[in-house]
Amino acid sequence: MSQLLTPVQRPPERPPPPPAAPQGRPAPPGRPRRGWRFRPAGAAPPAHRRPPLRGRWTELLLLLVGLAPSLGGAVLLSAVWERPQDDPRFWPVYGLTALFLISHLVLVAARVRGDQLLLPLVATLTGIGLLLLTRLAPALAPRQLLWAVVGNVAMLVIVAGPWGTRLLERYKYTYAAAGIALVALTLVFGVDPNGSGMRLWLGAGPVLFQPSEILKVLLVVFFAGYLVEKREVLATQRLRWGPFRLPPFPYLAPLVAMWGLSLFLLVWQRDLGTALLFFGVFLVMLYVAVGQAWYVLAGTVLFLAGGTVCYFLFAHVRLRVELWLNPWVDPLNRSYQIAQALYATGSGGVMGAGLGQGYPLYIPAVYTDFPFVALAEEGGLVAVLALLLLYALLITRGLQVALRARLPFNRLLATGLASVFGLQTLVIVGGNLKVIPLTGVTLPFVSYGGSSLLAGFIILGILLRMSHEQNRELELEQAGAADRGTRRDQGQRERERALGDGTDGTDGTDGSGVAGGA
Amino acid sequence: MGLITPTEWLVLGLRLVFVALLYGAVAAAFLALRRELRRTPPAAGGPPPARLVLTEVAPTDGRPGRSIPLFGELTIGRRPPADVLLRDDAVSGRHARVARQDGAWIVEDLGSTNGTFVNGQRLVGPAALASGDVLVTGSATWRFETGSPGGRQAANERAGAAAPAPGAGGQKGRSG
Repeated sequence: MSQLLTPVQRPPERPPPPPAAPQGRPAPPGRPRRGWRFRPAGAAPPAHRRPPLRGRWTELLLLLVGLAPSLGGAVLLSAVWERPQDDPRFWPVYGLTALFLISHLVLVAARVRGDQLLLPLVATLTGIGLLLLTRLAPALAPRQLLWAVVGNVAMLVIVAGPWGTRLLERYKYTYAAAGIALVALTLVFGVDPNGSGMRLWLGAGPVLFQPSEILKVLLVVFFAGYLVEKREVLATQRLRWGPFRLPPFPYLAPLVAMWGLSLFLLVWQRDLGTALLFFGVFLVMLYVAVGQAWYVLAGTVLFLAGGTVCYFLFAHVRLRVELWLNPWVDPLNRSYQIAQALYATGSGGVMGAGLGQGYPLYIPAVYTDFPFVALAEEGGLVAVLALLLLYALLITRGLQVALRARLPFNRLLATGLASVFGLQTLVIVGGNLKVIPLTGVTLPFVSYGGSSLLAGFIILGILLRMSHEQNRELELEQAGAADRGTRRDQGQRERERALGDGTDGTDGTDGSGVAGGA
Repeated sequence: MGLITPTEWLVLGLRLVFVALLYGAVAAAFLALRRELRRTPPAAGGPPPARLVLTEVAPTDGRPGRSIPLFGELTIGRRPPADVLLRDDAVSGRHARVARQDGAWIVEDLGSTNGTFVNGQRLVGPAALASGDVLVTGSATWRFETGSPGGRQAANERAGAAAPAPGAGGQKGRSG
């Protein structure tokens, strides 16, 4: 591990490599150096100066357009309820608008270059969620707004803080352990505030927290780090086993153990939706990392087998599946919720009953489990399709971050995070519409629930951070290219960067130096 | 016609406005997406900026010609923490590292027993790589390439001429 920095004996026309970073160790690639770090005077190359302030006008415009539906919905509600528009029950919606505009300003001030569509899409979804909550349970809206504030702060800290995505990769085992510990804590100290029979929350006074939401993020980070570390092994090892077609057990074992542990905890806690979500995300990431459909097939079979075992083992699973297959066996008692949800969806029709004019409150726990159905009843098919389009756009943007990422870890992480949104939406919307058995997963950003909202904003923060790092790197490269002049092909530009700035007097070094070594 | 009160007209209008605003938000996001896609140069999906091409390798490790795109950092070695694993006794557990540093690609020997060679010269410290450079780790030979595929062919020819470099133990003068 010699850091001597002595140039290797090379052909004479090649200057020495560029000096190391001023910090004494090489800067991790993929992470732009932040301007506000302390740096010895005179050591800073021009590219590392504090980046210029640049407006995020697309984001601002989309924020305004995106928050308009919730504001318009508030006006509609005030007309239906015949209340003034400054009634206290509408304040949370106005507060949310202000919150997102402030977040936007902070992003501009912090010189964040991240994707400009992510925040507006999330703001639109959160706005619709808060509007629905205002309609369904106005007393809970301020609490939800408070969680949105916490989430925004967390998002901004992640995006603008003095760290990089590398930090996530480095401490992956720590994160996984922390997540598992959090869930284990709920086994001991868990509380069940709403009588659902599941002790999933950690309580500290009036604040309740659901650790499995955070575990979701932590596990994706862990999977990404782990799969990148073992990627070569996972992809090549199977070939060496040849005719046996066995998976590389020594390398897959910790992963399966991790998955089994989280699945066990969650089945034990009866949170089947989250287990389904974890496993789906795990399969997506495994497939993206290894590129072999065989693993996905095996995983699906494994999961189906596990599901069958659960069906015979746990009474509540059996009940859920049976009520899913036929809710009309007991529509007034055990399947009251799903039966009411089906009625509500049907009565919504294409145009809906109109916000505030339907009867979604007949569905128990409608604001946590069935906000999608509430929107279907009062906004109709048109509103629901718009909501699904917004989710599709959000997931597209998340995957776009993955596509543009250069580091394998970032690619996997962004894919995993985006698929969390996608699968979660799929699982809960499918459950609400009786396409799949109902599970207790939240609709991202729309359902009432602080932990879920916070987890969503943390995911948004990580995606924005990665996008910011990509754009910043591009910006630096372009600035460097502009400094050095034009009319040079990519390879040559790359080459000059390798040779250091401003050392290319004669331009005869088009690779002929290689031959000199022979 | 007088059955509908002004309030009901207002509510009906506001409902339509609500739907219009919802789709306005969706449409605005779509338009922004489209605008960005148009602005992104098609080269974004092209070849990665740099890659290592395996030109010669022990038969246990597969065939030559494999191209490994370089993103950020890559370690070559015989044991799992390394990104590229070679089952070759001449390769150390952690043999060499190729990394991007201040916009340049550098190669560094990680204290390997048999050394890392660039164009036939044994590395003693980090060295900058240029397109077409030939890297030798154990019995594996790599060619470092940057730039477009057009530049790659030129580099192929150059590397073909340069590959029979002396000094790399047991190397035959053949290149993929």
